[in-house]
Amino acid sequence: MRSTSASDTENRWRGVFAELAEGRLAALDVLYDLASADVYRLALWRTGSREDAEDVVQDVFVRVAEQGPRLASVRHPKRWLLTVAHRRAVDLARRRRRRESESMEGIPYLVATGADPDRAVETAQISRHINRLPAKQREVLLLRHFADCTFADIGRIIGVPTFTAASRHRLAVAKLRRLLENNHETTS
Amino acid sequence: MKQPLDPMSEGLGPPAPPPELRDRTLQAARAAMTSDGGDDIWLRLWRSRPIRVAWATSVATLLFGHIVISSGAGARPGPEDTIRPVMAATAMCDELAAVIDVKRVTIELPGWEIRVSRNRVETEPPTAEEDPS
Repeated sequence: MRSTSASDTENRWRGVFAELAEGRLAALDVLYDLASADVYRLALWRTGSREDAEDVVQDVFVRVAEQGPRLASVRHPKRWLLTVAHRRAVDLARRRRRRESESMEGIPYLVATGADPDRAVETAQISRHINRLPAKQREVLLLRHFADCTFADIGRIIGVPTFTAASRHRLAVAKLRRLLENNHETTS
Repeated sequence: MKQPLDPMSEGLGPPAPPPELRDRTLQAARAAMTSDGGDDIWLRLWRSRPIRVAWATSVATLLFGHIVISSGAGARPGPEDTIRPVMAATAMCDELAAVIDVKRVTIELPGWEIRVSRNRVETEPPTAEEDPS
């Protein structure tokens, strides 16, 4: 079931890229609906800045638009787009390192998906813990849990071997669990 | 595939991009798509002044080098230049002269016809009438 829906999604991405390669402007809207959330989240978790994440989304879409007919030869559109987003986010984070002193405590890495106001405090706490993870580990967590990527995909997107991607994920989960457990102990 | 990050994080997810980002992004992307952005890499290289300067410098350097070398100052020694000192040395020493003076090897087989082509030597054995044995 999963493989069918995954291949449907992949075909949809390919279709949009094919339309863009033919120069159809309307395909940009479809691509935005399809990809903007993943690109924005990846950039947010990597850079730790909402402003930078917005810049990354804009840059990635401009980059896509500039590719023209070359888009037809992209074999894995989602992976390609996330790779572009990752590289742009890394570039931007490196360039704006001087702003590191800027407080990132308030970055909402996670928000409540349902209408449950009681979870606001809890959400802020988890976001603070996620903020304490290294950016490289944060990015792997996001791609694995919220972008539906395999470790092989993650490795290709961030340019590391599959084993390294899995290792970063393991370290991130372990650290996050430790932080959450400590949090439980102190609150109880 | 989407596993909860932690039991505590169930019902939570990363935030969506702000709604106002959509118009801004699509506007920029449309502008990039409709603009005459079909510049290929050669055109972009040509428009870059530092790359043009680097190209001109390398061409000038290559031309200068070619002229200097072919004018004789740095010309390679010809065969005469390398053989002459050897000949002078052998003239003083009979032993060296004997070493250098290699006799040509000739094949003399009675009755065999030997044809030398580019890559191989073809031989034909003597016919029965010619066979001396």
